[in-house]
Amino acid sequence: MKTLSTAALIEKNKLATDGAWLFLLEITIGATTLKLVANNEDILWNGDTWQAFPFEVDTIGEAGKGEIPAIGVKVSNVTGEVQSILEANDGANGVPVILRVISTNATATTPELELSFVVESSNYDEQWITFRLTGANCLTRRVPRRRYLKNFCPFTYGGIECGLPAAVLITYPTCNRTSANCTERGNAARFGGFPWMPQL
Amino acid sequence: MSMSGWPTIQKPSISMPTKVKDNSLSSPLTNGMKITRAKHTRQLREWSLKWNAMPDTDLVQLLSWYATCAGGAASFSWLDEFGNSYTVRFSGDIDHESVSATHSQVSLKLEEA
Repeated sequence: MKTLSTAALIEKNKLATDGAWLFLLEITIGATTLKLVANNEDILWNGDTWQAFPFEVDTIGEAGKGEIPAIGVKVSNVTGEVQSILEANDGANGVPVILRVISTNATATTPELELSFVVESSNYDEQWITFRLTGANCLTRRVPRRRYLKNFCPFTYGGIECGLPAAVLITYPTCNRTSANCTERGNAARFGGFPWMPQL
Repeated sequence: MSMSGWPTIQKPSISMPTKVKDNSLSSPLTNGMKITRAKHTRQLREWSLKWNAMPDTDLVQLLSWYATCAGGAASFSWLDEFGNSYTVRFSGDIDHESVSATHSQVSLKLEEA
């Protein structure tokens, strides 16, 4: 169960208050960090300007059945700004998202609620971009990170692990990642496959 | 980003109803009281402008500006009756109807962006 600070509890329990509870959404997509507030004017919080931008957050629930909770966040796509960032970053899957709730009457620099997610999927239409956010799930990660393949090199051709000299790259601009191709380029010592691995 | 360029036309007829929108949330209690708080930090305004007899030359300028703004798409700077500057956009349609050979009755709404 989430707990609120004493100041927030007092603010929450007031019968009438001029303070607003605001959602802050922080998404880091590639080199761009979006800091958005669901408000009708920009606000300054913790030294950063949070841009007023229409977005809606689904109800956040807590499940007791061992499920990984997921919520939907809809961000306005009327201007297409966020869509262009998404397209430039392959849909933003796996990027971190922090959702915060603050009270404008509380002077605390820590939010009353802070939840961290990663983007599981995203889709858009002309009105909204919908992010499906979930907690980081270690079961979806590939372990071990590399696959052991008998006759296929996973290294980027001409990259650091491949280490092929520029002169050879000019002569051989492409590679089909096989041991034969690697030997032909005189680079067999750096072949990234496992040719002596038994065939299953 | 807001544009500048509200056309130089005559001022609206003297009555300019202005609405300051209430952005509070309210939840009634069973004892008749209410719990209230602000939903956002800014209260937005809306103006209803009306001209009883606008010269058609002014109307052409106004419609041209409406087209430049793509209706309610773009925002622009505008001075209210007290000389206060606001960033506004058109809210909805412009209605106009001829009242003489050279004048029209015009009404429109502006909302704070």
